[in-house]
Amino acid sequence: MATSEPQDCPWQERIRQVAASGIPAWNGPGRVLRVKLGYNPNSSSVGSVVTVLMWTTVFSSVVLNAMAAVVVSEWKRQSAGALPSNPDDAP
Amino acid sequence: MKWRFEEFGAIIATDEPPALVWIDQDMARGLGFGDSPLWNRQRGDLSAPTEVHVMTTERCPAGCPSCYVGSTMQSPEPTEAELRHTFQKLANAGVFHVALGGGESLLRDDLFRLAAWARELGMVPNLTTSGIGMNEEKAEQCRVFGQVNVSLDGLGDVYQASRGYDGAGKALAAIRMLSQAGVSVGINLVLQRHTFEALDETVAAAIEAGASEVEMLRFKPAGRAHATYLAMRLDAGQRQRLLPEVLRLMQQWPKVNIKVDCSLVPFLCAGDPDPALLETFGVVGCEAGHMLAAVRADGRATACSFLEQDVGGVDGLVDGWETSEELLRWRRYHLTAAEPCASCPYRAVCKGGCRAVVTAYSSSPFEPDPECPRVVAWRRGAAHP
Repeated sequence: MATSEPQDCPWQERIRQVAASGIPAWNGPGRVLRVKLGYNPNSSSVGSVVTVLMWTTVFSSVVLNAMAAVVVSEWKRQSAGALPSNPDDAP
Repeated sequence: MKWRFEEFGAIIATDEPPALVWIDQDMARGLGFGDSPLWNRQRGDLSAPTEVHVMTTERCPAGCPSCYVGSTMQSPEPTEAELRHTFQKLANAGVFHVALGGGESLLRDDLFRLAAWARELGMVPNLTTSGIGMNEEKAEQCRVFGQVNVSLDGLGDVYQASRGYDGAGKALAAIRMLSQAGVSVGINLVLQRHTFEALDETVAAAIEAGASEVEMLRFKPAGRAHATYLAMRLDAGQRQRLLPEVLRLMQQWPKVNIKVDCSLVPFLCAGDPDPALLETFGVVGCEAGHMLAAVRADGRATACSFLEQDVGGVDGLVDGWETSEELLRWRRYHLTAAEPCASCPYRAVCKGGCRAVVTAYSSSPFEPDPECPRVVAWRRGAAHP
């Protein structure tokens, strides 16, 4: 498959924005297993973003790490500081 | 942020960027989600669909010969109370997204109220429309949706050949209104023999009007499309060309999101993409009765929008999610699929192709997708070893 990253694909741009936004990376245990990008407004079948076909393995790891950071950031905002500063202290 | 436990850990829905994120048990625990009894199970299934297609009406004035529902203006339509019950059940089950469609959903006066209700319940409502009935006021109200996709199979004669009337102008006007209202808007483009050859002009017009996403859909033999399916489906050469065409469009329109629907995944896999990459980034084939389910305008609930077998309405869908033989048959078909699917490297992604398409060729939907290039090659080899 393609071995070069697209210069300006929408997801790459958004993920880079996330990476540059200062959201701390997830340093706790565990990992993101899978990411399904986008909404699916089509009301007859499941749509899949295929931009991934142009991603390298390296960039795929960047996306998974960035999405982990997004999850932590949104979870922190929602739980208003309830997130343990040390993941070992998690209930 | 909505999330729910699953056997492997949890699924979390993010809004920016919009995504569903699967995390393992350790990460869920580390985030402070606590433990779940689901973590002791090994069924291999999701605890509920991630998205459900809800037909808000079957009524539509367009009369397209290719309509997979067979809509007319006399077709059934659920009441607002029935749809509220549907949304409540789905939200309680942990469903993340509802894709509203029809028929033409914009015919409903209560559409935006219902979408707001879905939001209140923690689900993201999305919408498919032909554009019929769209105006600036409704476009503004469409901001309640996560995204709106407008059906646009082609322009002029191409649209006419696909849908029986030239509605491209209305569709493009709807895209413009939605885009100007700040709504995330894309198109649904059904791939038929003639629409496939007009991809460039269709995509260019949609993007010029403000679309930021192009979702390509496989034409399927359902509703009125049963009668036209064999004449209008993609030919064998076009099926082989799907992946190169997708890659070309992505290079030509780098800021536009290109998507394919679940039923096109067998054609995509003919180009030998990395199966692990597809799986990790949620490029999915048949998810009927697993990630996906549908609730029809007449109250039936089905494993996917193109299937007819009712699982007992939305109550049966949610309450019988783990036990319904009907749901399990669709959900687990790929685990016991015959060759060549049984040994196919894409089985976990593609899941045996589109069950709805199989019904055009066979009395049983539980057979390999006969249009899959790998299946075609395998059968040719079996016939002429």
